[in-house]
Amino acid sequence: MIESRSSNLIKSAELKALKEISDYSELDKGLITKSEVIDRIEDINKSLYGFDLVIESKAFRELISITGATPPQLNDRLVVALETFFVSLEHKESNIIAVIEKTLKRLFEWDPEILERININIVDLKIFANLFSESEYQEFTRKLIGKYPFQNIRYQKASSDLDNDTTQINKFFLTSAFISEIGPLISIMESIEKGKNDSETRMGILFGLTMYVLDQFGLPSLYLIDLIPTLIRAQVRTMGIPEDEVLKLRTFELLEKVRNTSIGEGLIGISKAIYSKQKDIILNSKIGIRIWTELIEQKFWEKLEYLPKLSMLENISEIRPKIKKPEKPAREHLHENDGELKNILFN
Amino acid sequence: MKEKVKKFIKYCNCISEFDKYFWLKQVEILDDQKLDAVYESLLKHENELVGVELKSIGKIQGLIVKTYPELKEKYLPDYNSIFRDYETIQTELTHEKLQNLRERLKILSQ
Repeated sequence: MIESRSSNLIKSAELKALKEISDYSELDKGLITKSEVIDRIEDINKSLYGFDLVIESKAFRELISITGATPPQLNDRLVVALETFFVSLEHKESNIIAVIEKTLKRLFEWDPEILERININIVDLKIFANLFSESEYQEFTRKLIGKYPFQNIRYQKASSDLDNDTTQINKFFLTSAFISEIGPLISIMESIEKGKNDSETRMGILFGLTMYVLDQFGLPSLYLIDLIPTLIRAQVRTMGIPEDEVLKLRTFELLEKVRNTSIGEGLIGISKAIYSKQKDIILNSKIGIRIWTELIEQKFWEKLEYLPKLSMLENISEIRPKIKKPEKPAREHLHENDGELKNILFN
Repeated sequence: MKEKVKKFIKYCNCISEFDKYFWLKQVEILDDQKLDAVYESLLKHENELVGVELKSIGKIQGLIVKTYPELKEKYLPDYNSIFRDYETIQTELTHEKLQNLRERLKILSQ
């Protein structure tokens, strides 16, 4: 669970303040109206936007300097990995599993433990892909993939035994066990195999890769929410924009820069789905069911206000506690951004 | 020292959750001198982060109380206590003290 993130504490303080004054009427209190108080609270929050990212970036660079370690930050490596998949899509690579293997090994080349798990997972992926004829595979995925309960199935069997198991019921149990471990990789494989080059396919690849990374790090799926803005920033960095500028830009400004890129499309798709509460879009992604279930179980929508860094994607009127909208129009510069953001997301 | 640094890395906010995995592994192979340097670096950045958080929260509280003075007694005492303690701990800073402040802030925000 995302706990005590910097922006969470400030956001919580903001919301608490808003709740405290929610019962006050709109009458002027001294020199300023309640609407102006609300505007100023938002200004305070926005004036420090990105401060935690700056400190995070400084801390990372200093640790690199002290330890002599060499890898770039994970989000930068993830962006490179995603680009590899999208290029594979465009070139219609025939050996999808080889592409997945090569990319994952590059992503985690600095960690022997994860590399070992990748080796095992790739073998499982190959077995899964070979276990069914195409029609059986389609039937199986239609029935089982996307159903939450199968994630809890655990069935261990030596790989060598699997080659001799051809009965349907064994296939069911064996592949269920595989799916629980390699579900995200299957999601990537299926996305690439579709051969399309559209935003839904890219979203499928993006979902699969990020879920696999979270699995390897033992992080819950909800960390995808935290990962989205970092991936957006990493993508912007690949476009040659200086680090200092990247850290200062708001999420909607970053989205505008990446919206015509492959990764940008995928990220906008996911952001749209989550923040528009479009359940179907998430569930159409095979691995998205897992995210959705976690979101529901953790009452995501009630805790939306505690999510860091994506505050610009929120519909502010939805999360504010029962504050009547001011009769006077809010100051221009606070609303023009919301309009831009909506334009990016929904057009 | 190794365990102390690992514990700090796990709950600090100055490192991205996605990079913590890597740094936890790195700590295993560092000598004591580098571990000390890592700890001091983390402490410095975490302290800076907490300072900026408190500054922002202080501004919000100040605005509320200035506009609605009747909220002062309800609002300020607990926050003021945290702000004061932040200044006090600067002379002998540890990661546990910073974490304690954060936990108190979290409780107040609920």
